[in-house]
Amino acid sequence: MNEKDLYTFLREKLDTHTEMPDASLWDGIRSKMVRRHRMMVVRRVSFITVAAAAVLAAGLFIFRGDEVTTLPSAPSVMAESMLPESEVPADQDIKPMSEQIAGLSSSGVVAQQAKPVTRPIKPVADILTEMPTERSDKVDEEKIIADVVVSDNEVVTDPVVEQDDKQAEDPAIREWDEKDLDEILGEEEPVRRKSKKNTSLFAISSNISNVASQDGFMADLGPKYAPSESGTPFGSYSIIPFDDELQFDVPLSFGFQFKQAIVPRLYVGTGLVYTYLHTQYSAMIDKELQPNVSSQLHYLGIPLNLSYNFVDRPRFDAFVSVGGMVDKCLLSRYVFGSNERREKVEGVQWSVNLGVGVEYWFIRHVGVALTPSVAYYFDNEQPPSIRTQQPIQFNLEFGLRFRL
Amino acid sequence: MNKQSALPDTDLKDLIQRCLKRDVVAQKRLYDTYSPKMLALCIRYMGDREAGMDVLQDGFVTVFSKLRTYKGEGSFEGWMRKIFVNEALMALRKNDVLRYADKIDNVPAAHMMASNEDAVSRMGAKELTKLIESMPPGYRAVFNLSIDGFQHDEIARMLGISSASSRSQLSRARDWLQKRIKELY
Repeated sequence: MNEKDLYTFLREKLDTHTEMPDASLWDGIRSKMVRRHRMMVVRRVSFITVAAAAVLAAGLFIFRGDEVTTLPSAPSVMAESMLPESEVPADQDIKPMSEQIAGLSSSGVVAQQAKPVTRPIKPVADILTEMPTERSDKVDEEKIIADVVVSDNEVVTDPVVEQDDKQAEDPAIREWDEKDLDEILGEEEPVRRKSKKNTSLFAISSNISNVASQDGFMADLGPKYAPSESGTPFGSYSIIPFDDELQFDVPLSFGFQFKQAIVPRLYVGTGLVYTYLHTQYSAMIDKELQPNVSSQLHYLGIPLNLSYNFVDRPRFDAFVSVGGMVDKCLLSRYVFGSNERREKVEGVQWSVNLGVGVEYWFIRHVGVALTPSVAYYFDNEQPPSIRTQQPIQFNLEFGLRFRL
Repeated sequence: MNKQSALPDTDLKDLIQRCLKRDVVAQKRLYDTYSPKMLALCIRYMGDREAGMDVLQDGFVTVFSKLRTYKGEGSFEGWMRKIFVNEALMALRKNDVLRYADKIDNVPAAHMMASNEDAVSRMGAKELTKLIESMPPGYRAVFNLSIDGFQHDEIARMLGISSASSRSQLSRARDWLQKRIKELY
């Protein structure tokens, strides 16, 4: 028997041998397969998501690139004037700005170009004046915010622009404007669309309503105050506040959001927001009165907002936003004396919000944003906090923004 | 009838189709049909039952997930066998067992004795399996792969050793086996 025959002989002999596996082995195989299938689904979904995001990003990039390169020479004066120096097409003959304006003013192009720029300014003032004013004794910080916006508004206001606004009120002029507006917008649109990109936002926000007005400054997170409203919707929680002398620290939130233009100027945004709520009160715990219970609530929320840029410039945007958020309390911790207790919080906290904000882009892809807003927190039987005691909250959000 | 399969060809094709549709009953039937033979294979490679069971489990997960790649050409059992062999080698590699296979190449080869065919033919499959299981891991891998019909260049590639090492280790494995058979019979 040669070597090959020997191995064939051995193989045939060994093939007749069997071993019965343990009965539990099949269960192990099944559970592994289920896990593997789940992982495969997650991977596929992740891949599709990443691919879609990549396609979207590529589409936006290509779309933007086309717009910039198709700018005609004469009306592109304004477009280029609004672009950073680095973005001026290299193949164009760049004249001094004074020459360009002089050349265009005779054809009335300057006035028409200014028109789209000025239109958003009026709504800024309108919306700011329409901001909630019913809390007249608590609006110091709101004024600060308004001042910021208004001062910014003053900077961008141009006498030529104002004059043009007045002219636009004349129906005849408006008709003429609209007739020729498309020609102008046809050139300006690419520039304005430069800001219509998906934008990620990293934001830190804080409450600015009662605490700020009472204790002087919105950035001070330390001071506490007693709520004006009574009643405690504590539901079925075992830690029951003894009275209504609750004291709150300013809520602190931070998170990130992503927003995407769905049509020009209109964005839909979502993200993840963490909020920390600290409250102190006396409470009955295990039939004993604890005079100083520190309640620490950690919420994770998913916002969904719709925002509209009523000013949309390459470096500066102003917008209104409306939306809602659902918060889930991930951890509720109560410290009293040397004891600590954690309780599970059922349900979620729903809220709606309305805000107005401004964005300023330092460089093409990085900017800052300031968004004062008002939010209403529904009664969802959450543990006592500033949200349950003062359902209407004024917030100030400061954030960094990144264009992708 | 498929030569190596315990199932008629039509049944096997139907079973495979149902397995592709994630039919758990069909998967279980496929498992019940082939697991005893594949477990014996895994134990032979791994040297002990527990390790063999682990390989069998991973192997069947791979079989079900890769079933779409079986085109119906050749024996289904042969296709499965390759998967289980591969799983076993991966497990041996993971446990650093195959490193030994390379080291033993430096040991001077013992005198090659002619195979004791009579003794081997007298042995039962279970005894032979036990004997192979007790082989040093490095020898065992090369010897098992040779039994399963792999050539030296394939073995070398699978184990990450040279073709010459594969040959010499196989010779040593045979030598070791013959010595053991002589001792027993």
